[in-house]
Amino acid sequence: MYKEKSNQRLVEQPLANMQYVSKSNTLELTGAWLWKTLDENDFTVLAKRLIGTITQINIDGSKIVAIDTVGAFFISRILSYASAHGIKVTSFLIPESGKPFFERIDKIVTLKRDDLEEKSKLGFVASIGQGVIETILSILDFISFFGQFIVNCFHFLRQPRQLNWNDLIRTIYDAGYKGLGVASLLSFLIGVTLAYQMAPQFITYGANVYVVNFLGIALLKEVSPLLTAIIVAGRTGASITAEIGTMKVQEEIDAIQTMGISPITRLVLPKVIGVMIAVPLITSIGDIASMAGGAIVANTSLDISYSLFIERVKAYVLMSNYTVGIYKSIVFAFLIALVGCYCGFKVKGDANSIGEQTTRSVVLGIILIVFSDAVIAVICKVLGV
Amino acid sequence: MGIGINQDSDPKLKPIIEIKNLGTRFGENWVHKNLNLTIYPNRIVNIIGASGSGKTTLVHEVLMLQPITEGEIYFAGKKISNYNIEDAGTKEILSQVGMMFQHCALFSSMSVLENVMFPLVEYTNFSTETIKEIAHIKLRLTGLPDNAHTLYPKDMSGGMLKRVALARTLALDPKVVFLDEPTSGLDPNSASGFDELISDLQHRLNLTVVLITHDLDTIWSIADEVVYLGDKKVLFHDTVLKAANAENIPELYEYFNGARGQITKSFHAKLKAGELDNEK
Repeated sequence: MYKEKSNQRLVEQPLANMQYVSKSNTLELTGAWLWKTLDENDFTVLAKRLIGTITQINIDGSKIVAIDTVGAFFISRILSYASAHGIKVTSFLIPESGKPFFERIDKIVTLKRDDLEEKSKLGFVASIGQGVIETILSILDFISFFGQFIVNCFHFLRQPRQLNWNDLIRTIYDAGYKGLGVASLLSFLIGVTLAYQMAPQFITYGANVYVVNFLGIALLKEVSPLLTAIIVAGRTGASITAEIGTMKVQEEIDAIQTMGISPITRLVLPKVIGVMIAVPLITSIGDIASMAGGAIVANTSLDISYSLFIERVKAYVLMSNYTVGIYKSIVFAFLIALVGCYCGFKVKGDANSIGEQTTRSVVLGIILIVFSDAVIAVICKVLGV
Repeated sequence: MGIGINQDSDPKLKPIIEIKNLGTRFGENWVHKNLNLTIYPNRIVNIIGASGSGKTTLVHEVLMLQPITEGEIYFAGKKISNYNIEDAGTKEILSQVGMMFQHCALFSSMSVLENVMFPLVEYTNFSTETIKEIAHIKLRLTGLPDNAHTLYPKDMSGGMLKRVALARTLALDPKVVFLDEPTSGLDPNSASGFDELISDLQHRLNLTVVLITHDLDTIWSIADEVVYLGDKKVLFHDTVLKAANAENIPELYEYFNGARGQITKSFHAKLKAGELDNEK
C-alpha cells in the first residue's frame, strides 16, 4: 500500500479486501490486488484469527478485478500459510483471465531458494585483529606505492620530457592561485588572533616589543606552514583523490596502462611536483599576511608603530625561521599530493568508494602533516637550527 | 500495472501515451517541432532514428527528466507537467512508468537485491521481509540465478546487469517500460535471450514496451510497431514489415535495407518461413 496516506486518493481501483465468511467457511478475496491497494496488516490480522481455529477453508477469489505481481505474491502466500499450518484448502477460485499469471508467479514463489550466502559476522576480538592486520597491510601498501613513486622519479629523471606539463601547470594553478585567497585570509586572521591573545601577557611584563620576536617564530616557523598545508590537504588533496578515483572507476587508468605508459609518471608526478611548487608559494604569502595581521594588532593594542615593527623583524627574526617554514611546507606538500594520489588509486568501482577514499585522503593527509611536523621539530632541535 | 480482469479488453480504446504538437528547443536548436505520436497499450513500440534525432530526449520528456518547450504529452489521459516531487500527480505518473537506462544506472553501493527493493521501500509500507520476497520474485522473473541476488553490480557481467536493471524497472509493476538500448554490449546469445525475455514479460505482465534500439535483430524479432523520427517529427509509424518496405522514405528504407539490414531481413524472413530448419 502507498507509503504516504495522502496518496491513497489517487488509487482508482477498489482496495484489496479479504473477508472470512464463517457460515460457508469461505475466505472471500475482492477488490484490486495491486501493490497500491494491498495492506499487509489485513493479512497478518486474518492469519492470526484463522490459524488454529479451522482445519479447512474455501478460498474464493473470483471477484478480484485486477492483479499484479505483488497481489499474486500475497495470494500465493495465503495458500502456503494455509498448507504450512495444516489448513486444507478445499476449493480455490481465481478469475480465468488472471489464472496463467497467478500460476506463473506462484511457481516462482514456491521454488525452493538456494541458500544465500550471508556474510558471516566476526566476533569482537576477531574484528580487532582484522582491523590491526588491515591497518598494517595498508601501511605496507602505502610504502610500496611510495617506492613505486621513487622508482618512477628516477625513470623520469632520465627522460624529463615525458612530464605532462599541462597537468603540472593546471595543478599549480588549482592548488596555488585558486587557493591563495582563502589561505592568505585565514593566515591573516590567525596572525590577528595570536597577537591579540598574547597582547595582555606582553603588557603585564612590559615587554611589548617582544611580540615581534614571538610572532616571527610562531607564525613563520609553525603556524603559517601548518595552516596552509591543512587548507591544501582539504582542497587539493581531496580533489586529487576524487579526480584519480573517477578515472579509476571509468577505466581510464587501465587505458593509460594498456598504452604502455606508467600512470604514476603520467598522473602522479605532475600533481606531486605541482603541489610542491604551489604550497611554498602560498605559504610565503600566508607568512606575509599573518605578519601583517600581527602588525595591525601590535599597532592598535600594543602601541608599536609599523616602522618599529619592521625594524624589530629585521633585527630579531632570523631568516632561518622563514626557510625552515618553507622547507616544511615542501615536505607537507609532497605528503598531501602523494596521499591524495594513493587514495585515488585505491578507489574501487562503486560510488561509496570515492567518498570513502576522499575522506581518507584528507584525514590521512592531515595526520601525516602534523606527524611530520613533530619529526621535523625534533630534527631541527638536534641540528640546532 | 497488473492485469485488469473484468475490464474492457479492447486495447485500442484508450491510448496510453499521447504526444501532441510537441516542440523541444535546446538553445536555438529545435530537436522536435510539431511532433505527434500516439502509443496504445500492450504493444512493443520501437523508436528509431539517426543519432541526434531526439529519441532519448522524447523519452526523457515523458519521464519528466526534460522540460517540454511547447505542446502536450498525456499519460493515460493525464497531462504531464514539469517535474515537481511535491505534486502527488507526478509521483502517480512516475510510479506507473519504468525506465531502464542504457548503462543500467544501478546503484553501485547496493547489492542487486537492494537495488530492486529500493523503489518498493520508497513507495510501499510492506514489511522488509515481504519486500525482500517481492524483489526475489522480480529477479527470478528476469531469469537471474538465485545465487547472484547478493552480489554487487561491480561483480557482475553485462548481461546480468541488464537483467537486474530490468528487474528494478519492473519493481513497481509499471504500465509502461522504456528500454534504452537494452541489448547494447551483449553477445548475440545474451541479446536474443534478452529479446525473448522482454517479449515474454510483455505478454505475461501486460506491459507497454517502448524500445530505443538500433539492433535490427531486436526490431525484427519482437517489435510490433516502428516509430521513425526524422526531420524533428515522426515520419513513420507502422509495423516492422511496412517500415522495411517504405520506399517513399529513403533514410528509413536504407535503415532496413542497407548492407547490414539485408542480412537481418533475409534471416528473419527465412526464420518466419521455417526455411532455416530445412537448411540444416
